Order: sequence, then structure tokens, then C-alpha cells
Amino acid sequence: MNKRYQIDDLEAYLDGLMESEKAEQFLKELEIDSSLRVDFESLKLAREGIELAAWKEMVRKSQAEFLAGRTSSKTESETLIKSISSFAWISRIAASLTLFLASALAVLFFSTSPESITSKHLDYQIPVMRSGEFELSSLEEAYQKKDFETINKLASEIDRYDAKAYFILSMVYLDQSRPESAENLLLEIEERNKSNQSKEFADQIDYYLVKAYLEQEKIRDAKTRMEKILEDPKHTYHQNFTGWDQVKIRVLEWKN
Amino acid sequence: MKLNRNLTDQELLEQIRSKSNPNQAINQLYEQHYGILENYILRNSGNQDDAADLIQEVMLVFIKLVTQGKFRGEASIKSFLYSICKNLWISELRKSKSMSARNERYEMEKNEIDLDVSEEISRNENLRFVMELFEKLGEKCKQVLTLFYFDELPMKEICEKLEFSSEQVLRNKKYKCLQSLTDQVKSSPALQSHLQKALRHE
Repeated sequence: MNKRYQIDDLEAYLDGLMESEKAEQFLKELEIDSSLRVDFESLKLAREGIELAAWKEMVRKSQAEFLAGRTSSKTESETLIKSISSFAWISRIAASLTLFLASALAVLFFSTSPESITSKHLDYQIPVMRSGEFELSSLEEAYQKKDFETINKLASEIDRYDAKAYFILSMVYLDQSRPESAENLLLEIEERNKSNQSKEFADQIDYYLVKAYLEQEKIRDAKTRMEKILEDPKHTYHQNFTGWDQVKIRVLEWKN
Repeated sequence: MKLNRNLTDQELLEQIRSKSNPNQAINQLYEQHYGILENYILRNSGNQDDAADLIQEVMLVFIKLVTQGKFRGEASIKSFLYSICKNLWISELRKSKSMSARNERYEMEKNEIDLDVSEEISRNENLRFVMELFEKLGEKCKQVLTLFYFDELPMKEICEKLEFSSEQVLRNKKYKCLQSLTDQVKSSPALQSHLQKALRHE
């Protein structure tokens, strides 16, 4: 440090506290004294450095706080975007499934008809054990041969109730697309069974009534019979209907 | 800290100049201008770390110009900060050898900047070395010098705050600390060219 000017003197000049006369003298010496100029410039830099270091610390803290806040809001945004993205994916999958379901329902709705159920119906097969009675044997034979002319002739000769004859005739009516006549005969057998406390052709009646009803578009009656068959595991025709047939018959019910 | 109301440019400058609640002013500078400055650096071969380092420097140059009365709001703070940022970043790129091919293009883009600003950017380079020397001082020295030169507290208050036995002891301490820093500045090889310029009256 300069012998004549100590650090306190230089500071007094910088702070404007030096007497004017002394200040003038100082400026003159500063012009010619290079070491004084170095001292003076070093002090100025030191003082500026001290102040700037304090500002720097303040700026550093503000920046750290700002960046931390920005990172957390960025993380929140990213989390939000992720959840929105997940939600979007779930929505897309749900929308696809809904579309698929709606299409399937539309196909089901428009393609379901009574025929879609009755087409799978089994034709009645005459059991191997035959009745010994002439009329019935002839009827059975004629039924097996699908000889409707003979059947009609034999049917006109029936003068008393016979369950088997009535049943075979109802099957003939179903074959001839006369579901109403088939229904009447099948219900007649059922009534007789009730009064006789017998169960002749009971399971067959349920099964073929479903067909007779469907062909007449009596959907609700057909549905009741079908449900009866499906609810009874011991029913002869239990395996002949499925849950899918139940769905179809409900669709037909909606359509009606 | 969230601000209830944004300061106007003039209010912000005044808070920095007078050091009254400067934190609020600096926080607002960050809230309002960090994004645009960062974007400029990212668009010009920088990454986020470069941006963080450089923007801190931009803020310091800006504060220095404001406290010295070299910026009084003649232009908007936004455009002024942007201009400082561009000039500082171009200087950074020029230092990087790998970027030499791009320098000329950047040079063409370099903003016409006020001589005071340009000088301040250069002066801040030197002050970076002074701050490094300051950081190496003892903790007590740093506290004394900061409270005296930055916070501008009277000796009596500093004496109480730092629990000095007397004001005279504090004065001696302050004198020694400042003397030490000034001597280090004088003998710092990094600052020699600056001091040589002072000798040549540049």
C-alpha cells in the first residue's frame, strides 16, 4: 500500500468523505503514481467484488428456489399428463370395447330370427319299439315315409283320444308348417296328461311347443317353455338349448 | 416466494437500486424472464445447465448496471435482459473452440449493445475472480465485509450482530479483511491485465 495513502484514505475518497483540497491532491498523485493507481483500482475491485458476492448469493438462492419450484410443477404436470395419458388409453380401450359390443349387439339384433333357433330343432324320430295297434303303426309308417296323403287319411279315421297318434299328427303339422294346429294338439295332450295324471310325451311337448310358438312368433310363450327346459337338468331336451338360445329369444322379445 | 402482485419495471428497478426487498425483485425477474432466456440458449447449442449458469451471470450484470445507475428503464427489462443474455452467450461460444465455425454467424446476430453494458460484461469477468478470492476469506471476514458494504449497516449494529467486544475491534477486523482482499486482488495473476489497463488509463 502507498505510504502516503492508506486504505482508509482511499475509501474516504471513494465514499466522497475526503476533504476537497486533499481530494484534488489525491487525484493529481493518482495521475502520476502508478502504484497508487494499482492500489486504488484493486480496492475498487475488492469493494465491488464484496457487493457482487452478496448479490450473487441472493441470485443463487432465488434461482435455486425458482428451479426447484419449476421442477416440482413440471413433475406435477408430467404426472398429470401420465394420468391423462393412462386415462386416454383406458378410454380408448373402453371406447373400442363399447364399439365392438355395440356392433355385436347390432349384428345380433338384426340377424336373430325365430328361424335362427328353430333351424337347429331336431325332427321327431319314431322309437324302435312300436305299438301293436294297426292305425298307429300305419300312422308311424306313413310318418316315417313322410307320406302326408296317407297320414291325412289315417288321421281322419281317428275317432278317440290317443296321445301317440295326437303327437305324431302334431309333428306332421310342424313338418307341414302348420304350427297353430301342432300347438293345439300338443296342448291337448298336455291337458289330457293333467287330467289323467300321466306324463305322456311331456318333454317332447315342451320341446316342440317352442318350435310351434316361434313359428307363430309367440315369443313370450316360446321363452317360457325354453326356460322350463333349461331350468330342468333332467329334461330330455335340456342339452338341446343353450344360454345363447336364451339370449336370442330375449332379443326376439325386444324386437317384438 | 409467490408474489401477490407483479412489480412494474420501475418499481422493480427501484427495489434493486435501494436494496429494499431485493429478493422480491429478483424472484420476479426469474418468474417473468427465465423461460425466454433459457429458450434462447437452448435454441443456440446450449443445454439447461449452460442456461442456468449463464442466466445467473445475466442477472448479476443486470443488477450491477441497475445499482450503478447505468440502466434506468430506458428499454423494457425483458429486452434488456435478452440483450445481455445474447451477448454473454455469444462470448461463451467464442471461448469454445468447437463452436468456432458458428462464431461468425453469431457475431452477425450479436445485438448492438450499449458500451456501458459491454464494459460491464467484461468487468464482471474480472469480478468473478475477485468473488472467488472473497469466498476464500474467513467466515467472519465475509460477514463483516458483507454487512458493511452490501447491507450498509452502521458499525454499532454490526458489532452487536457479530458480537464484537467493541467497535474498535470491529474496525480493526474490517480493515484487515479489506486489506487482505485488496492485496490478493493486486497480486492475482488473473487480474493483472485489468490492473495494467488501469495503469494505462484505459
